[in-house]
Amino acid sequence: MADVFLRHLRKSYNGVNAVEDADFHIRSGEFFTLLGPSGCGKTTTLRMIAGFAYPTSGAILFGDRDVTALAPNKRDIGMVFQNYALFPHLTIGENVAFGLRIRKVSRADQAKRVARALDMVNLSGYEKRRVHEISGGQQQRVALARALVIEPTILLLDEPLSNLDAKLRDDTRSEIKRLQREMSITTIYVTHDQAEAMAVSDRILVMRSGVTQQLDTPQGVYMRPRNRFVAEFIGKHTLFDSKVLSVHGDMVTVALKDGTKLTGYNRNAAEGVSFTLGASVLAAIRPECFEPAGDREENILVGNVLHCEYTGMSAQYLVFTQGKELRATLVGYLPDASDIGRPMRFCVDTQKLYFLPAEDAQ
Amino acid sequence: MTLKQNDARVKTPIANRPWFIYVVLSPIFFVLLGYVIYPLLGVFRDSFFVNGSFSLAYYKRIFNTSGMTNLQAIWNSLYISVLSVICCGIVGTGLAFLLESFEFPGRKALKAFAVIPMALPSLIGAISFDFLYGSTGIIPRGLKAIFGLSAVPFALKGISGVLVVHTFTMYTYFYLPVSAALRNADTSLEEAASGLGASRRQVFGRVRLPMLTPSITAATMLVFMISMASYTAPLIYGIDRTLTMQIVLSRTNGDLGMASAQSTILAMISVFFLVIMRAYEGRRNYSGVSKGSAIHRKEVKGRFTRALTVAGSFLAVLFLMLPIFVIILISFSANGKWTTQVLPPVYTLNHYVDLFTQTKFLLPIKNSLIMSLAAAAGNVVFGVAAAYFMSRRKFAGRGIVDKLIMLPWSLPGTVVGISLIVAFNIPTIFSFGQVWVGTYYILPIAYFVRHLPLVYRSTCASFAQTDASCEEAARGLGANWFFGFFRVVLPMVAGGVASGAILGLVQGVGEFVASILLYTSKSMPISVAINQQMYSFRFGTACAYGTLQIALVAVLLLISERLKGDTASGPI
Ligand SMILES: Nc1ncnc2c1ncn2[C@@H]1O[C@H](COP(=O)(O)OP(=O)(O)OP(=O)(O)O)[C@@H](O)[C@H]1O
Ligand SMILES: [Mg+2]
Repeated sequence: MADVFLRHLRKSYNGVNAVEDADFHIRSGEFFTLLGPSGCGKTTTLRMIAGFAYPTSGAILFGDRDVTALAPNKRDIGMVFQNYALFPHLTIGENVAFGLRIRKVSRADQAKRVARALDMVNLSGYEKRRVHEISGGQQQRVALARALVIEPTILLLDEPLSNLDAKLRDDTRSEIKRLQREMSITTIYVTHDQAEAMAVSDRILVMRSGVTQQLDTPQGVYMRPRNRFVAEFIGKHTLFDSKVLSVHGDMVTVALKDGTKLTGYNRNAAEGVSFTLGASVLAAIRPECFEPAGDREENILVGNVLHCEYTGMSAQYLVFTQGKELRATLVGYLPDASDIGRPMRFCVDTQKLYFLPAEDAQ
Repeated sequence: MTLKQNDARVKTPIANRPWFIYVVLSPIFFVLLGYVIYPLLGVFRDSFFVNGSFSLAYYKRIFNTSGMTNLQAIWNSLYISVLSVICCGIVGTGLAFLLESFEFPGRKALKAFAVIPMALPSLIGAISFDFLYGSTGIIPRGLKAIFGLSAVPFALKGISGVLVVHTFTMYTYFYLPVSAALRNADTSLEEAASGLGASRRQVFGRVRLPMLTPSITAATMLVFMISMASYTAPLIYGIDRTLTMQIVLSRTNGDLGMASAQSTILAMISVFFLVIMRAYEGRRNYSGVSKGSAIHRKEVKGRFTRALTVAGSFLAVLFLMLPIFVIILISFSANGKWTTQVLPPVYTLNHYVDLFTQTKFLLPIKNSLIMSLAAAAGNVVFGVAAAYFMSRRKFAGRGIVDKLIMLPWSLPGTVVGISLIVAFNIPTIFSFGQVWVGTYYILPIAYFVRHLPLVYRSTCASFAQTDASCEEAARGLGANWFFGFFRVVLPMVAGGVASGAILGLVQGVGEFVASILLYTSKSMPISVAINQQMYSFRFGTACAYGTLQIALVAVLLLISERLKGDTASGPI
């Protein structure tokens, strides 16, 4: 049983909160991600779970055991540090065996398990090498092997891919995900890369300045952001101030500042949105909410095309409208080079238009 | 599973309370308080008390214009120090420019030997100069014999002797930083300046010199401080009227209060220059923003000039090595047989045989080794602990701890010696209720205090280069604090620890200034033995000791070089 409970966890440095009231539950065997921009308190949260930082207030429980005051060496965790933190005075084999040595595993067993762990991360036969004799990507995998070989109940990963190039990132990411699934190990993963978080996580906790913004599945945070920050940080939504014009059954029509009318469903709304007539709401549109306008008249947004890129699969437009820049992706559309610099009509998919509470209502 | 928000606060473990770090640090504070602060405050206090009542009598005596001895001593100390700075500056900076700006045959050899004086223990250095260039020295007598003169053509004595010895032993404080600055200097800057039409003199004055100013300023302060603190050279050349000599004389006459007052003045001057030097140290590294091309050295051309430079380099290397040669030579000369001859006439191996067979002669060697090792061991424990907490933990008061550790190193050995006498000629808690003065323990303590920052600084440098999260990684893998510290943290900084410890040993083996104040017949170290042998004209024995000292230092420095190959961290 490796559920992790954070109870009103707070950590302040010199009176400034690095983490505020973190209060959530990480399920046994789950791949859980802490996501947020730099300095939002992800590492601090992870270090409290690992026991390297002591919370200012609140509690941490592993299962029903309160570990808040437990020393890190007694928590049975495996941690991979952002900068690997391999021991430079030991060989790769000795690095991986370190945790086993402490657990008094017999020499023969140690060798076997080290070999297996290195094999798992595709580094068989590297036992005798020194840390500075292998590449950054290999070091990263050694760090992973070192954390996994002790079969910890909880695996903590602090931006483990940040120093790798794009290709290696993808490979290592899938490797981590595969190992996690095979060993069904509770994993807490820290990253500031939303695509990475979406790709591997069972659930994502979005943080900002130490405050929890939203805890949800990848689809949840992507499709149903709870506030402007999550909407912009995760789904790359563009948000427009608008007023509710009319409500017909579950259909809502809003008017943007310049009078443009957009219609969507009232179920596609974050908590706290009120659809009373004349109420202010934010209309949120993701790039893939658009369709080619053709000769349709409803749900049309007009904007000046600033830039257009054709990727084969889709056409990506950068459009200026309502005083801000907006991205629009049209799947299977052939753009016209002469579009640039001209006004163009885009149709917003009624099913995908999303509403957030107006700023002052939050 | 319901927990109230403030539950955790109630059971905050002791190790996570904010004050806990100070409990852990208390041994470090104890050492600093007992062996640095308390003795120095004692000196300060004693300088104001005569027979238990407050009085300015000592200071009145010092600044009394009719007696003059003390004023003259202060004046001499200052005057010698200023001249030493000038001489060292000219020699050190000049040599740096010569070796870094010109390419000539013999350059490499000269460069390698230029740092030899640093390895020479101070007493041996001063004595060798007297043997070589004094009025009965080998060189003046040799010249007299060769040219059939009626008197020696020159002789080093008095203040000129002190100055030459100072220059020889301290020019490296200019030479090393200036040549480093020249090597790191961005020559493209100079090229840019001359490209803009600046003359060579302008380039030098406007571009090169300003870049060197920080290193030259720092070196000036350092040499000034060390000259003020110098005791050995004035002793050998009989300049009684310097502050250090007066302090020792006051102490010998049993006037500890006067010694304290004089020490207070000397300490103030040292600290004043230390503060100035520290202020400049921050701006020391001027290495260019753009990694410019390495300095190109001008090739010396022409057969005649090249031959001249070879001869010059040879002479310079010879000059640098002569002190060591002469000590070795005299170590084989029979005592009392060398009178008016140029070179010792009778040679023998007896001194070495005596040194290693007679307990009386062996004792100082054993003492020096044991006491240096004990002090170095203490420095390792203290230095590693202090460096660990200073580098890896945050706590209020770090700046003060750092300065206190550095303080004894920057104070003259004489002052440290007097302060320990003042502190421990009565029983204190820091001496565990014992009187330490007059016992064996006081000397290793003095070495420990004088060399306090050596291991600390080099270990801090190592810590700065190693990854703090390695310790956490070890803890995360299940290691308790001890296992993590001894198996991960310590091995990672071992290079720095070793180089600091070796430097401490080098200093300990050659220590003289504090030793002469504090030794007892049982704890006499090599340097004091050399001084005694010299005093009773047993030059051979003195030099045999000296040779041994040089050999010890050489071996230690070789080991340190070896270790440096493995780790990049260096001392101070
Ligand atoms: N030891 C510390 N002392 C003081 N402030 C700290 C300390 N550690 C973190 N902070 C502050 O707490 C905040 C959160 O830091 P944290 O390291 O958790 O951010 P992060 O989300 O991991 O950022 P990044 O993505 O850059 O790693 C930051 O504002 C940081 O400056
Ligand atoms: Mg971080």
